[in-house]
Amino acid sequence: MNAFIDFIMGPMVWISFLIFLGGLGYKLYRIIHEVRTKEGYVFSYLTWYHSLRSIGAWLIPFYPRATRQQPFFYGASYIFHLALFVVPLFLSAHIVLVEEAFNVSWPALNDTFADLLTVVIIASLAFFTGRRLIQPEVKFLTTAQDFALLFIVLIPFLTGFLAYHQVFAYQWMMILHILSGEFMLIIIPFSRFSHMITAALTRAYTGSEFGNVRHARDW
Amino acid sequence: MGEIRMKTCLTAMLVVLAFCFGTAGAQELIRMDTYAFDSTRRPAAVFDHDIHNEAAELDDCAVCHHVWENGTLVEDESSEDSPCSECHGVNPTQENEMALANAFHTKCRSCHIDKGAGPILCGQCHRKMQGGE
Repeated sequence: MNAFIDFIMGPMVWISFLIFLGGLGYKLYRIIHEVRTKEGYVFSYLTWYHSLRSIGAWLIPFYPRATRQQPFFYGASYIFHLALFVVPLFLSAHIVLVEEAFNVSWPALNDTFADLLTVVIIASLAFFTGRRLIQPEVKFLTTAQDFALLFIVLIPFLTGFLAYHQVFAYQWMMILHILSGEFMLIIIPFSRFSHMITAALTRAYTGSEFGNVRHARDW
Repeated sequence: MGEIRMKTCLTAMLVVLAFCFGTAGAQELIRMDTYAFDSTRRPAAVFDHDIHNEAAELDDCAVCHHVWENGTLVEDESSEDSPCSECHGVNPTQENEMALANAFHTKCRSCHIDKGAGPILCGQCHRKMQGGE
C-alpha cells in the first residue's frame, strides 16, 4: 500500500501537472492557430490595451454592470474562485509536501481559516448545483456534464475536509483526495474548466471588438 | 420508593460511564515531544520509540540518530545523546537547510516508503484522536 500511496503522491503528481500545463499550452496554441486560419481578421483590431482593459475591468468585483445585476451569484462566484486557488496553494499540509520534495516553502494559511474556506467552497458548489436545478434560464442550458464538473470539484475538497478532521477511513479518504485532485487537474485542458485560460481570451476578443471597433465598453 | 430506585439506577449508569471514559482515557497514545517548537499546527506525531524499534527490528541507533558533517553522513557515529533540534533548527539556517519538521517528515516517510511499512500520510502520525483508528 505504501508503494501505491508513494506513487500517487510522487510520480502521479508530476504526470498530472504535465498533462495540466502541457494540455493548457496545447489548447492555447490550437485556439490561436485556428483563429489565425479561420478568422484572421480578428487580429486586425485585437490590441493589448483593449484586451487588458477588459480583463482588468472584469477582475474588479462588481465593477461590470452584469455582475451588479446578479450580486448573489457573482458574489458566490468571486469567493468560490478565490478560495478554489487560495486553499490548495496555501494549505499548510500541501506546503509541507512541497518543502519535503524541494526544500522550498512559503507562508501558509491558518488551518482553521483554510477549513472554513473549504466549507465555503462546498456550500458554493451546493448553491451552483441548486441554481442549475431551479433557475429556469440556467436549467434550460444545463446538461449532465455540468453536474459532473461540479461533482469533480466537490470530491477533492470534501475528501480533504473529511481527511483533515480524521472522521472515518482516513487512509482511503486521503487516497480518494489525492486521486480526485489529480483527476481534476488532468481534465482541466479537456473540459470547460479550461475557462481558466479561455476566459481571458474571450475578454480580449470582446474587449477589443467593443473598445476598438464599436468604441464602447464591454463591462 | 420509585424515585429512590430511579436515583440508584442513574447513579449506577453514571458510574459505568465514568469507568468507560476512565479506561478509554488511560489508553493514551505516546506522542513525540514537541518542546523545540514554539507552536504546533497539528497534534504531535504518535511515536513509541521501543515499540517502533522492535517492530522495525532496528538495533542501530544511527539509522535515525545520524551525524552529518560538511554535507556528508558520518559512518559509525550516532547522535542519540543530543536532541534533533541541536542541528535542525525550527527554521532552515545557513549551516543546516533541513528544518526540524522537514527532517522528521523526510526521515520517517522515506524510510517507511523504502521498507513498505509504517505510516506515510499526514494523519497517520498526527492523529487527532486518543484511541486507535
